[in-house]
Amino acid sequence: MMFVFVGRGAHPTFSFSMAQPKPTWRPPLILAFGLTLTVGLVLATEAPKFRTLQAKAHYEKAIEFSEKSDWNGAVLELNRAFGHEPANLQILIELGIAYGELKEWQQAVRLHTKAVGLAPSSARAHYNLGVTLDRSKPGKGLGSEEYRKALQLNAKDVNSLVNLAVNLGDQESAQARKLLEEALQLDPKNPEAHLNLGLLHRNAREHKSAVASFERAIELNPKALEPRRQLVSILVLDERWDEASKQCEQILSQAPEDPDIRYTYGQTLIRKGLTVEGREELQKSQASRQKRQRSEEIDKLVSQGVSSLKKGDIQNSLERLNEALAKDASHAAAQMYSGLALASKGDLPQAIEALSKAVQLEPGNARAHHNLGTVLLQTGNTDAALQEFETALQLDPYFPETHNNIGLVLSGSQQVEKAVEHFERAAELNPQYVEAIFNMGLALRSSNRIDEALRAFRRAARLAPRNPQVQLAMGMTLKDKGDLKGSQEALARAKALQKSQPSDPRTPQ
Amino acid sequence: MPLKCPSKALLSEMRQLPRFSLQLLSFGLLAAIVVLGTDKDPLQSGSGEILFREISSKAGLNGITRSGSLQKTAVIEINGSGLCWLDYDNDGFLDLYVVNGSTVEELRSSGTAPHRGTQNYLYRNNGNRTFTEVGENAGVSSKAWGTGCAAADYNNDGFVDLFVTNVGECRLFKNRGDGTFEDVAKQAKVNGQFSWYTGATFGDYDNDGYLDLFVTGYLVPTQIMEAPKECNWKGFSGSVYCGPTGMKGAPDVLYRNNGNGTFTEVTAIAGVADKDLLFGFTATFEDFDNDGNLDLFVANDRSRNYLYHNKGGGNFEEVGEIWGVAYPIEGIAQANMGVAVGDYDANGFMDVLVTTFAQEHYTLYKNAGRQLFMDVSTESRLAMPTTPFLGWGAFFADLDNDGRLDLFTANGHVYPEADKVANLREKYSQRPLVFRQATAGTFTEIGQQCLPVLKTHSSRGAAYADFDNDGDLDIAYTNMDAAPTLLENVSTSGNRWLSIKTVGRSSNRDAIGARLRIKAGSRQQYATVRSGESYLSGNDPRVHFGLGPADEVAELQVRWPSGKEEVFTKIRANQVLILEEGKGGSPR
Repeated sequence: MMFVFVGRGAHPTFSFSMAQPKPTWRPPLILAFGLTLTVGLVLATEAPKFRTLQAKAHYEKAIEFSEKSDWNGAVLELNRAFGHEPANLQILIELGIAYGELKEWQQAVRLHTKAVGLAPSSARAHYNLGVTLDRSKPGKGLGSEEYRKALQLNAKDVNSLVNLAVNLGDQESAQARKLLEEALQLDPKNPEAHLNLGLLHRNAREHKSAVASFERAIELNPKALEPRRQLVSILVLDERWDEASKQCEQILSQAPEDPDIRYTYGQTLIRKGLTVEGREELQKSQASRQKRQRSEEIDKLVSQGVSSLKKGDIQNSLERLNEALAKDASHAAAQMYSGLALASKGDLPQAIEALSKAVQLEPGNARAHHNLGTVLLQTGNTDAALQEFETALQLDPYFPETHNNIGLVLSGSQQVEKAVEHFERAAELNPQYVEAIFNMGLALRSSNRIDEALRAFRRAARLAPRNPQVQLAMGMTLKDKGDLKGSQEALARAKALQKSQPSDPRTPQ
Repeated sequence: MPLKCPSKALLSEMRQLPRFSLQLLSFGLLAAIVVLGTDKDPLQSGSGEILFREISSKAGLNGITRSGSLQKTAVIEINGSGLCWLDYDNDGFLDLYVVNGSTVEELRSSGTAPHRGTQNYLYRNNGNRTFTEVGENAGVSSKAWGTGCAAADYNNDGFVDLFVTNVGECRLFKNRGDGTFEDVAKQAKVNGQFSWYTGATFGDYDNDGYLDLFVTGYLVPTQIMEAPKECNWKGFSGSVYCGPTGMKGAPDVLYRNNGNGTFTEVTAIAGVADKDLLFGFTATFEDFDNDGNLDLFVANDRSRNYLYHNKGGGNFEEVGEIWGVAYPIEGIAQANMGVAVGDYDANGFMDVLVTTFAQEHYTLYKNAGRQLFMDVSTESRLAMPTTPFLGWGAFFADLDNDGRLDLFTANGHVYPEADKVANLREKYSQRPLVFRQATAGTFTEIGQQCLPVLKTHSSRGAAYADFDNDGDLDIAYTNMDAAPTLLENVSTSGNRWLSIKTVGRSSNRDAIGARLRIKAGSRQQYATVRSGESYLSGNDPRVHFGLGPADEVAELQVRWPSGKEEVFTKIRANQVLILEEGKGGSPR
């Protein structure tokens, strides 16, 4: 039986996600978040408790992933842990944190809210909900209420003190100052508290105190750039050009492409009489800015191209992507999406060329490898396709589409057991993944595992009740099982559904 | 609100946010605790020598300048308009042209046809400190959504003409010489396409003796009437209008004067195409590097400033960033609106001040020569006092005739909602700021001492002129949804002065671009004849020098736009001198 791809016809699934690096710890908008949401700190404060060994095992594995900032892995394991103990506070909080790292705010807030519901007297739960609310919508102060609750439960919660102060900000500066001073009494080595207190001093024109606070923040965390930036702005106001230029140099050593600081650096050099050097820095600043602007323009074109591609406007998509490539032929994402657009158009050789360029430009891009593999599969080059899929999985083991496509390749070469494993993995990573579940059913049926096949088809039917192919497959499998009545009903449903939908030449008759 | 300034990596995100996000920038910039309105102003150390009295209504300046609805629901309603001083009837007294806006409803229904219920005002100076409004009779009422103006004799016939920018098409009112004008914009090919035009400046950039014209564009029209107030600002419980960030900017345009009453659009060829489509406001031609060619400065809202260096041969190169005038020292784009140009430090190079948004300091770019500017906002003591204000019109002018340029800015917020936010020091109506340069290079704000008890407004365009020819500079500025304000200078310093009207012969008739240098007493001063400055406005076309106690100008050097240089000596103080290129001078 030919494999049919539910909903998409006889095509393996492409990934439409932009190639993204694994989530890394970006400088958070409000620095205090950075401290509290590290998993290490969380574990230090409360030892997790479990009712089941499975939950514990998955949880511990999740912690390993999160320590490596592998948040997809963490989410996977934590969801497994959650499956065993849905009312476990620790799991809820960690899962909320992990979703937050993936910026899936709705999920993150939901989980933290649930945690607070389960444990209203947990300061940590309130705090983490507060942080997540603030991170999901920066600048609105949504987390303040939760910080206050956390402080009612634990008046010594330094991070709640700092974050609440940040939210109060300049509007209630006296109160904010009080909170920060309290935080520093409890933890004199808290760099975020020093930084934020410095800002308050600065806004009140207390330059000397501001400088002292920023310098302390730098001393406690020499790698942090924000205190240095703030210190530069004060030094410039005070016309302390030597010190300002030194701080600019420190910042630029870590962030050489920062055009704003480079501009400031250029100006401070000019003030010091180093006109030639200063002018050079202004030129470099301009070049950085132009580079960034160009990059933004290209990203915008690529984004427009992807959007058109998703809407099915291939012509427009190719125009945008070609425009992007005209500006920068080495833009890996543009090459990749160009490949997808060409494949959609049916121009497979060109698609392979573009996708091959994408993987050359970005060998660590799992999606590019996946998409190349998919097109190679369409041209019948199964071995090369499998190689690309395997590379994709090495780079990103949590890619359900790749597992699905490997399953297809393996099914085609009669390696049904392994194929089923991959389909199962795909479905685990994405429980809504109808194609993978359907394909699993087909693979199971082909190896005469009828009951398992039926379970898979029923699962697919629950997710896609109006899909005629699922009903068709279920009908045929029920017939295999000897359930003629059930089979006829399913086949009748398939026929009815087929009539009510536009005909798809790829659907088997 | 977040207390700290976000990391620079996030600032690009912030720049995408509407104006309300500027509150975050305040943590990265100066934030002075200066209270507006009637609250105590801690910044005073006035001189008492500069003094003004308000004579707006008495003088007959009663026309209301509209700008959409009072609620300001769309971005088009908040920028207001400018005004220009010009002697349109050549009687020796400066008249005043006030540009007026309109309503969104009229713009939608009338488009380029005359709008109902609005007109620009031409106030003819009666010579006795009163004015008569003659716009309709003179044919310059325009009846569109006006934004700015620039006055200059573009056809060298001896009568000053008037270019008016609109939301729509622009107008070029050619002065017939009989007290009336005719709109020749279409024939002259400077009407432009339907867009939101703002600033205009005349200058002979190619030195052919005819004034060319540069016009800035702000936003493309299709989005300017989108009304919903959807943006959050500073904890205000409702919403405010959005923009311009995130909207599409309109291009700027350069027209070369063909010398036959028509112009040719040469923006791209000349190298002044606004390729980033920034939100252009005030533009001004000025020779910033003293090479004899007029350069072009453009203040852009919420973006970097442009400085187009005139390389000669009709070609410009944009050098704002490299010359250090694109950004303040922090390297972050400001909301640049108004432009004041003048040699405040008398080093022979023209400096630039831009007015900016609230919680951003107005930035003074000192021209150090050698194609280099430095942000001296702090050193000059301008940064702190200006931070709480939202500035528009601005100019350098010697208000007390002591030989040092002082500074005036007209201010006012864009959100009427500012008055409803608790604990917010910024208010919608804001008083003007007057900075006296008592010691070289530093300014002291003396507004509350030298200005009368004024009804404050949200003000916009401002321009100075010695409208009563008494030897001191007076000030007019527009107010949102109110009549303009006219401040008569009644300072009693007793200092001497010299006012010079330049008349070109080989150069353009107004001698726009002429550079003057005087030596009086122990000081040298420099000035340029300019068109288009402040905020979409035009100052007194004559060059005014304060001479302090000196009874005469020992030496006056004029570098005419044609390149010709002349030197005059021993010029008596306290007169209006008419200088004709190649023919010497005569008192008015």
